[in-house]
Amino acid sequence: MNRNARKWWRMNKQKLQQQQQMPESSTQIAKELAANEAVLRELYTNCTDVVYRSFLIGGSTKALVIYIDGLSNTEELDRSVLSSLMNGKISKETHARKLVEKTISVSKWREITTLEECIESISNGCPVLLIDQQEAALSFGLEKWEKRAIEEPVAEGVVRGPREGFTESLNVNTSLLRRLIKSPALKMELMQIGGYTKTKVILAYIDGIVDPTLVTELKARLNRIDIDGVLESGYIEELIEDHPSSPFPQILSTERPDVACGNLLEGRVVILVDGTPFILIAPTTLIALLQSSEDYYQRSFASTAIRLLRYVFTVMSFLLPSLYVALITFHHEMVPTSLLISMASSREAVPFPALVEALIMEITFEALREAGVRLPKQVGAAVSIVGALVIGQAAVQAGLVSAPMVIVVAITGIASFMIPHYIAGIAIRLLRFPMMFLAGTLGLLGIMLGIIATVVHLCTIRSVGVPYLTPFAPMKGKELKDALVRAPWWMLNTRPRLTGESNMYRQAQGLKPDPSKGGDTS
Amino acid sequence: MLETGKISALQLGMIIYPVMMSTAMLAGPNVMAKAAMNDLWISPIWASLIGFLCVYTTHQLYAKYPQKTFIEQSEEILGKLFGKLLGFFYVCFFLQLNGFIVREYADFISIFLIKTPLSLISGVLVLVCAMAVMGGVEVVARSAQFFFPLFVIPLLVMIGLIFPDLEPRNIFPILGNGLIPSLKGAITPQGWFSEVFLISFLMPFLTDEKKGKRYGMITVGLVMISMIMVNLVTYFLMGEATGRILFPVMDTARYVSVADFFENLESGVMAIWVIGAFVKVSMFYYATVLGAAQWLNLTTYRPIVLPIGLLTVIFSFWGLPNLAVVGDLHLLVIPVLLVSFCCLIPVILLVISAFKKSNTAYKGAGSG
Repeated sequence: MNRNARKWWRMNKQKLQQQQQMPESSTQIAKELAANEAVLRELYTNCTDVVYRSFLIGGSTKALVIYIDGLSNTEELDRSVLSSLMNGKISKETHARKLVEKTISVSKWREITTLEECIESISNGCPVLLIDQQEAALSFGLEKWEKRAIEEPVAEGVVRGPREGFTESLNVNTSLLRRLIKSPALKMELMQIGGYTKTKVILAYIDGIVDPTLVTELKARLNRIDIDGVLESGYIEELIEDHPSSPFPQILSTERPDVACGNLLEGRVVILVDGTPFILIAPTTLIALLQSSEDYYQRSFASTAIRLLRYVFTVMSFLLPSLYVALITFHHEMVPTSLLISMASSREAVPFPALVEALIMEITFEALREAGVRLPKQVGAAVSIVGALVIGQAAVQAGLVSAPMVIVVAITGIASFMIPHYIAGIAIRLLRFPMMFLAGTLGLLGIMLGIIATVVHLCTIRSVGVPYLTPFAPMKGKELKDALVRAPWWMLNTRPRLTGESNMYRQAQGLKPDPSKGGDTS
Repeated sequence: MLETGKISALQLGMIIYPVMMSTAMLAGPNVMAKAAMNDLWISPIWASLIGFLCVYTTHQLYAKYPQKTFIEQSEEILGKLFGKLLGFFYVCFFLQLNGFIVREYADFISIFLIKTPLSLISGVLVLVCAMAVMGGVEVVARSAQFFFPLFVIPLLVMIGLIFPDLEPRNIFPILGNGLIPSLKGAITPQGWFSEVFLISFLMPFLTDEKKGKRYGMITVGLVMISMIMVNLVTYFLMGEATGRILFPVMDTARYVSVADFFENLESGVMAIWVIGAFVKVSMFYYATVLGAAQWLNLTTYRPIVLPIGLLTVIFSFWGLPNLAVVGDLHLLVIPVLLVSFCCLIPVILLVISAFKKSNTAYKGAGSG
């Protein structure tokens, strides 16, 4: 039985592999239109969304337009291609290039010579025009499909700052980048990844700021990917990161064009993937995951204060429950007496040790959070009511958990949502659980060892060659002013040095505003 | 090349500072007060001379045999047979010493975790250090750099918090009994200062080699100043009792009381001190592993990291039955061993190499 199953699997695998094999590489377009049509119809068997429209150019030459329903702008196709070709007086000499020059009024077009290019064009929504007795076909850039409008990014809200977010369509996303960085130095290199999905992936960088080795390295990593489908940038992220066995994200993902451009200007590379609003930024550091784009738009004092607050709460979301467990279990003497008494009295009725109590509460909180994300919006209110009532009130009144524990879990929860990048928050939330175990078994020593192990791990990982804890370890004094605090813009003269030292300065020296510095017309 | 990582001279200093300081911070005032009484703050100055000498010798040896650690240098200087023999002694010495350091740490921690077995306490620390050593010199250096402020700032904050309780008159009369007590007090600390010899295992990986010596010297100086500071503060606070309290800094932390809320911070001192112990043990661990790998002519040191870690835990029990023996060894035997291995032998090797070099130079001139 088992053996048969294995055999069946092997056979099917072979079949699958055979199916995956595409038509023989680079088949030239035949002279006979009928032959080409036959090949394409064979390939697109049972594909009801493919439209074939045959007609006569100038009433004599046979021609065929192929496109996929819903991916192309048919109105424009009818008006600029079909009507002008069918009605106009066209001489017998219907050379493809001449047709475009004389009669077809479509601005974006391409001459193609192989069937593979034909298929590619058709799948991308570009109608293909095949003409009898011609070995070249025409592909028109008339792709058009339903798109989501540009909306405010959901996961990264700001009070002050642009409200545009990336969308699912690649050309909208590239246009958003180009609108912010108009210099031709912004390069966008196109790649295709995915055997079936043929997903377009764009590698964007600013020539002259980026380190060229970074671009080559990322290109090599992207080229190595051989996968049947890429549906989200998460696929790419997991396939190109440096340390797969780490809970920390080594590539930043964002849906904000301003964040992408800010990183481009700092010499990083942006990877846009078709079909998802989340773009990837590499290399990244831990500190970048703890920064919000708004830090750069608010006044520097406010940003610095908010950054420090965020760092404190990040540490709290990592350590608070385990500290509480360690204090309750091992180090009573560190708690002030009056506080200890009130804590002890509230814990009196609780049947569990502090560690179990903490685990129950933290897991419940995580479940509530996940349910809140997943549930339909209409039910969301119910979840929060149940969560607040059951956990906040009933559990304490029933004596299952103590009130201080509820406070600790609540603060931890809030703290973990203060981390601007959701995915970094997840990593820290995950590590909280082993920390609680360490605290419950070895007390403060366990916590310290846990912290040391985490820091050692963070020191080990790199993001595309850049140490993850830069600028703290290895220390880069010049970059601390944009890491620990957020210095005002007129002080942020140098770019972060990811690699190399080319194009170090991003602005002129001495930009500090001052009434005596002119601009005063009086 | 065994090690491909590169570190900066600043990172070297930040590794070596906790290496020298972590034991000294905890037990230093007690040890020095026993012999020197109120002159305990002078002892680090005498002891630091050994440290400066160590940096000088190590750097001189490195200048003569660049891109080589001490294990490789001794082979060059003494020839294959004696060099290997000496290398073997050094690897064993580091192993034993690291085991001793781990034991001291475990004994200290067991004050807080009475029921936890020593083997677990030391095993967990060695495991964490193995993680760092596995990552190579870069990871050791980066984690030391990251933890450096966490190691230094709380100490300064603590000193600030107990400032009102200090009684500076405690140290008078200065040099009341002549120089001898303060010199006696320097016997144990000179062992800690000679640990700066470990820069021999870091210098080949420096990006800015020229600064290596300078940062070594600066670190020794900083350690001296920190020791004086810690000694003074504890003596200001406790007076003559300093010599009778095993871990005076811990008791100092007990004095801290801010707004009746931050009290009894000795567990906090323990937590901070674990950081220092981590850096110290990982550095010795790394030196052991690198030295052993070079001694065995291995191409990579990663496979021997965990076995040596296991040996370290075992060495932390061998011949060390209880806290009293550990304390005893710590006072005299270990410092003498440290000084002879980290200072005396390198100096001898330096002298031999000087002779050898001049000999070969002479020969070269003769034949040419």
